[in-house]
Amino acid sequence: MIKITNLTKTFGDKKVLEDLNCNIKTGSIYGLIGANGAGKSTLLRIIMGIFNKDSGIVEIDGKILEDNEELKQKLAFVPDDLYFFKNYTLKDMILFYSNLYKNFDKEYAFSLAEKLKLPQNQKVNTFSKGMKRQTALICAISTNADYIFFDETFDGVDPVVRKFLKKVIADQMQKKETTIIMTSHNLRELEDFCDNLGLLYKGGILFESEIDSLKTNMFKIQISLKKDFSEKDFQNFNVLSFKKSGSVATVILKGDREGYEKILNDMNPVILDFLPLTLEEIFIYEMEVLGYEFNEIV
Amino acid sequence: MSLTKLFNLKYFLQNVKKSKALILLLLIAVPMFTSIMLLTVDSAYVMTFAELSIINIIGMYIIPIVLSMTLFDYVYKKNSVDFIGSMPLSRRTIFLTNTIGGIGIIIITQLLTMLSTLFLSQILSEVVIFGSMVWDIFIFFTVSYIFVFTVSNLAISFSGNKFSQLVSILIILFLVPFIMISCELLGDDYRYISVEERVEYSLGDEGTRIIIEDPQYFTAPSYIFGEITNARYEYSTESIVKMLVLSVIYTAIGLFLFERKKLEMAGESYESEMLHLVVKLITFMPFMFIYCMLNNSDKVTVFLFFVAILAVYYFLFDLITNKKIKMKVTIPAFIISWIVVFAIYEGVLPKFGNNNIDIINVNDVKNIYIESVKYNSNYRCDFGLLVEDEELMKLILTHADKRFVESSSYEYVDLTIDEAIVDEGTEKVDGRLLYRGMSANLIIELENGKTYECSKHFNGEIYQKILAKYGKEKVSKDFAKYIPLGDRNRFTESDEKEILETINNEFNTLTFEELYKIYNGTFSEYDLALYRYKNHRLIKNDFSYKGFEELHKLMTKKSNMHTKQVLYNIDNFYMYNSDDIMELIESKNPELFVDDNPDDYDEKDKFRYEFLYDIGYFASDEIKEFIKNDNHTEFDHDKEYIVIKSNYPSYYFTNDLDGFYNLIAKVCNKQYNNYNIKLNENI
Repeated sequence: MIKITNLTKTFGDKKVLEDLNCNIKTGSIYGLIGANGAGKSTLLRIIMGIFNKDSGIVEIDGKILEDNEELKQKLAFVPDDLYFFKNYTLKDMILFYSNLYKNFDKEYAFSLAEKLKLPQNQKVNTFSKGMKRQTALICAISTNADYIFFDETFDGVDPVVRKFLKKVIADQMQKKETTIIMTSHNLRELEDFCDNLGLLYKGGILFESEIDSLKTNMFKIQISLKKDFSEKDFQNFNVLSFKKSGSVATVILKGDREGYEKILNDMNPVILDFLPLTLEEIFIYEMEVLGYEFNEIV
Repeated sequence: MSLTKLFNLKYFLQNVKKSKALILLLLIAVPMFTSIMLLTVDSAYVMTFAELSIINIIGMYIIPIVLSMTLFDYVYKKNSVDFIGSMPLSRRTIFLTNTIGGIGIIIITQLLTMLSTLFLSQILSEVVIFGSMVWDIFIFFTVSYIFVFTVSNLAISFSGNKFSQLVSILIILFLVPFIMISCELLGDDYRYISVEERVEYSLGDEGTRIIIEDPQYFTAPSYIFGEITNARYEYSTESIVKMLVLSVIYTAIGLFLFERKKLEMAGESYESEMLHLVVKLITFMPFMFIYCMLNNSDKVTVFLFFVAILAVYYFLFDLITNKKIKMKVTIPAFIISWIVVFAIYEGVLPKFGNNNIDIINVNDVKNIYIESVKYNSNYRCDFGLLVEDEELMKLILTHADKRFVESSSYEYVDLTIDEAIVDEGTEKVDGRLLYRGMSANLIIELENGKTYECSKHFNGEIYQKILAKYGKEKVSKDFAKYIPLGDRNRFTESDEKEILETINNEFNTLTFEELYKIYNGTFSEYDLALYRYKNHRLIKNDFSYKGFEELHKLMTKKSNMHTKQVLYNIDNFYMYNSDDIMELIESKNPELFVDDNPDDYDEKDKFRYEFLYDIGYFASDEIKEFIKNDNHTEFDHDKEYIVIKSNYPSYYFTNDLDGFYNLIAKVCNKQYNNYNIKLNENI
């Protein structure tokens, strides 16, 4: 488990992270979203020990990181802007990782490279962007680290590669209880992959929740009653949004779905449809409740 | 702490592997170029410390810095910072691994240089290299390279790009010596005292004023940089100790800062705006130094010119170091910087300049060691005389002629010797005026243990008193190597051993007075240079072996034997084209210079300059034949003799003057006929 307490980081005069608190459960896929410049990458780099923090505590499995090599063996990182040594082939890169990570699985790395049809003796810097991403991912996955961090990893990657990468990550999670932490400014990217989400805004985690509970606690209905009706008729519900067009209203509700369903049926609706909510919609409505304009945040 | 935290071999090998070509070049550059330099030496030559280490010196300013930049290259780019920073390595491990590994590479480089130099010194007979000097170079430059390397690592720990790192390195290496030299040169004593007065001089009954100039106190990069133009640098224990201590301190500070380094500033100059400003301000200093040294009468124009230059530099520095220029901050900062540096240079530094002069009181002196005596730019004699006589010490310190005391410029010494040639120390020997004063290197030791090294010139009076007191003492010298000037390959090892033994035996029978007379009075065309490498110094003594009876006999015998053996090598030699030979040629060939106009000496002059000077070349075959047939195996140096000199081998001595002059006259006659034919053809 990663526990971050009152983390603060300043770049010059600008406070990038301020008293940030966050908990990332072991075995979860934690999605970190936020607008460009919100501090997502900085947070990951501080957890990885790449950047020094100004204040606060970062604990991994109950131990404070602070340039701890043993602890860093448990962490792997795939940054947004990839770097490979000049003149290094894929094979060289795998050997580099295997020299530094005690649990690095060389055979697995080579087998993945083979599956992906990546040329092992070709210089990585001559690879396409997608191939480079695959290389970085193979190396990171093969470290068998407990925590793997992906910073905007799927940005600019074509859907086929993206799908494959996600599969590799999922396989790794099945193989070992690896915790994945991913950042993106694209909610749709994380929606079908993460089980936890944190929203970073103005240097702090504005909102943090499990996606499943978000989705089960919040739902959208389309309803039409025989009589004329308004939002007042839904006073007994926790209504996040009410929009009526003609005789049909679209309502976003938060609460126990089964209980709500029974009450709604008692109202003898002409139409009552339960519709799935996208993660983006969930966030939009949640943010509205908190008094933020979601589009300004992400 | 586990050893891998100090040095992670796997990481280091990978770090080297990624830049293997460059590191290999850094590894072999010094030994390779030093070897090439040695292989190009084509005449007998004794390498000095400065000459043998010239490649090392150049390398010292490049190799450790490039090595450091290569090993730590990940800190310059954000994506490489992410990559290496995310690896399971602590910053402490990275810093210490690169530092220890880099030092290992430096040691390997220096070992390779030492071994290749020693190997070549054995197989190249032309080059004479002292093994102990090679060892000294190894120690001195290993420490120097390590020092520059640690400075470079320190600079990396607080700078964000290569340019700012380089500026930081220069500041760490040169700031303190630069300020000290600035103090010295801007100090009242230097700025307002003429060159002639700037020498050490005697103060009547008080003692001597000595300007302390001990650049060896500095670390090697600044010490050698200061001496680069006159190549006077040599091994310095003080520098080594200082560099070792500083290397440890710099590594500790570097580690401390590196662990706290804000790696997010990769690519930028410095992490704080204030540090950037301070560094920029420090880089003003050379400009200000030049400004202050320009004692120009048109001060306003010069002032404005320098303000303009500095303004351009001020903005340029920001542009190069990737800092954004904010006019609101930059312009006031520039004005304040200018005022601060100007005030420091005009007001503060000159006040410290006076500290470079010590007055040595005669009563505080324990002894004076006369290390060596010089009597012109090439000749120096090891004197090795410890003076403890109070009266003599007082005389040396208070009455040495102040005109003769500056010895760093040989021309100056020569000039003063010429001026002073007629005094009580001058005598006439064989029609020549011989000066009996001496320009000597002294080591003055005070009662409190402090020592000063300086040069002083003794006039005849002091010289006579030294001779009266110590002149009859025997000289004892042990010369490790010798080299006959111009040619070393004449003799076998056993010959050399025999010659050396003779030299040392004959030296030990001489008194100081006899030795000095030999040194000062018997120049000739055939000389020996004796070398010792002692106390980290190459000591050279040039002298003519004509002054040593046994040595002279031995040398001429060996030389003649050798010359006969390698006659085929004689192809370009000459002999003295003296009036005596011209007269001889005329007497043997009276018709040679008969001209229509007896007052016209043109023909004779033409002959002299166009032919006689090259007679050795024209007469080469005949002279070879003469030497081959010369049966005077026992050369008698007490009889009249001639020396035939060529480039290689050097000398042949013979008492057969008649035979040789006849030969020359015959050749001249033949050559003169050819010369006339040629002349007529041209007409």
